[in-house]
Order: sequence, then structure tokens, then C-alpha cells
Amino acid sequence: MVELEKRQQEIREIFSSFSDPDDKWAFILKLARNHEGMDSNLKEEKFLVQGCAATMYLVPSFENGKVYFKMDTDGGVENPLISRGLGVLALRVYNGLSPEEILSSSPDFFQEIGLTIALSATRANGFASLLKQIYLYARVYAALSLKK
Amino acid sequence: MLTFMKKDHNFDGEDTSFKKEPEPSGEKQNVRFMSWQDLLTLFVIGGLIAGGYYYFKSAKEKAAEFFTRCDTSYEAKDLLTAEACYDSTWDLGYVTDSMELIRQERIGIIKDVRISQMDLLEEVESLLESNDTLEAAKKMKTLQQPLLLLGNKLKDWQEMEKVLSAVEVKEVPDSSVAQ
Repeated sequence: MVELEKRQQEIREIFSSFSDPDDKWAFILKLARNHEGMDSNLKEEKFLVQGCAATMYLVPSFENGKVYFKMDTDGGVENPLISRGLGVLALRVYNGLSPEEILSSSPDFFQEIGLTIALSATRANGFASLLKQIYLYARVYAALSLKK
Repeated sequence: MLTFMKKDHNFDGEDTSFKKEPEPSGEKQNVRFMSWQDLLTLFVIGGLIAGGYYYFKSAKEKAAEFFTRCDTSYEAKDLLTAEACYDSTWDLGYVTDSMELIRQERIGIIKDVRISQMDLLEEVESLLESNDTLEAAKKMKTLQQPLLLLGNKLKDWQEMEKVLSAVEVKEVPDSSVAQ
């Protein structure tokens, strides 16, 4: 099983183990609280996820053919933990994969585990923007590495 | 030298060349102005002059026709076609000074636009290397058509364009790259 599928399978198993739908959100909040975040000097405007209601930063890097992401949100009422938690979940799936692996996968996985259905429209759009940005960076790195 | 030009003329003394001595028999001698070889030579020379004239005339017309076509493409901003067209005029046998000036100037302008587009591509790639996808997309949109890149640069541009098509750019600075 390839790495991406393995990760998705793990998350699928965790989500299917929740008997109470609220447990799903408790799990996401826990992910958010345990997330280290990133240095404030990395929080540049260019790393802001466009279209995300929360102030979310996604900082990519490309090392040895793999794409690594750092993600963080700014605190405050308008930046609830749930957005941060969703970001952590996305990173669990995509962090450290090659651009090709990312691009060969479908973001539909998050719908499949029933995550996006339960989200408010604003938050769903924000999460879609985050995924879009992850795929965009993968496309950029794929294109740039092809050139080298 | 032609026969009729070879006739001796005594310019210093008395001109005797046109004196018609009566023949001993009393008949007048038939003096020919030109031989048939002279006529043939003159005919060949005349042919060459006429041929040269028509060749020159047709080369002039061909050049005018070519340049009209190139100018039309250039004025319609079809710069790639115009460039190829002006390049093809190097083979023409006849080009006027004004045509030459137009050709040099326009080929120069087209090359300048291409170089500025190469610079733009470099900037876009550099922004992408620093992970600034939004600025890269904004920069890319400052391109003024037509795209004049060729070969690998064109492929790179198309690739970046495809990659950045997902980025929504709301504000594009009104700076033009292509003049």
C-alpha cells in the first residue's frame, strides 16, 4: 500500500471508530490543541491561505523530492480551533509526500469520511481553499522539479 | 568591336571614308552599315538590358508585396507571423532603404518584447521558488499578449500558466511588460 493510502486508511479507521458524531469534532479540536504551529517570522502574507475565513498560513518547502508543509492559524474568536484542526488533518494526509503522490490523490477523501458535509459553508470553503493551496504547491514543485 | 565602329576615320586630314570612288566597272559598291553578327550582338545586349529591367521590376514588386504582407501582420499585432515574415525578406534580391529601416526596427521591437517576456517568466519562476503563488499569478497576468516565447521557454510558460490557473487573482497591477 502506498504511503498516502496508508495514511488515509488510518484516518478512515479513526473516524469510523467514533460512535458519537461529536467525537469527530473533539478529535479535530485535540489535533488543533496539540499542534505546534510555526515561528511567527514564517507568517508572511504570501503564505496566507486565500479564501479561508480564518487567518491560516501554509508554508511549504521542498526537500529531496518531497513536499513538507507547516501550518498555523492566528488566535482569536474569528480563528477558531476547528480550522486549525482541519489544517492539521490535511497535513497528516499530505505532509512529506512527493508532488506526484499528492497530485495523483483526490481531495474527495475528506468528503468520504463525512468531514466536509458536517462543516458550515464558510468553513467548508476555507478547508477547500487549504486543499487547493496544497495541490497548487504540489503542482508548482512538480513543474519546477521537471525544469531542473 | 562592332564592325561599323571599326571604320577608319581620318579626323586629322581629309575625310575620305565616305568618298565613293567610282568602281572601275562603273557600278556603285554596296556598303553595309552593320553585319549580321553586329545585329546579333546588339540583340543580345538589348535582351540583357530588357531582362535586367524586368528582373529589377519584378524584384521590386515582390519586395513591396512581401513587405505589405509583413506590415499587415505587424499592425494586426500578429507579431510571431510578422517576425517570420520579416525574417523571410532577408532572401529578397531587392529591398529599399525604407524597407530595410522598417525591417530592422520591427524585428528589434519584437525581439525586445520577447526578452521582456523571458524576464517575466524568470520573475514568475523566482516567485514560485519562494512559494509566493499569489504574486506569481499576479505577475503572470501582467503579460500583454501576444506571447512571443519560443521553444522551452514557451513550454515553461505554458506549464506555469497551467499551474497558476488555479490561483484567483482579484487585482492585477496595470503595469505592462510588452510595450
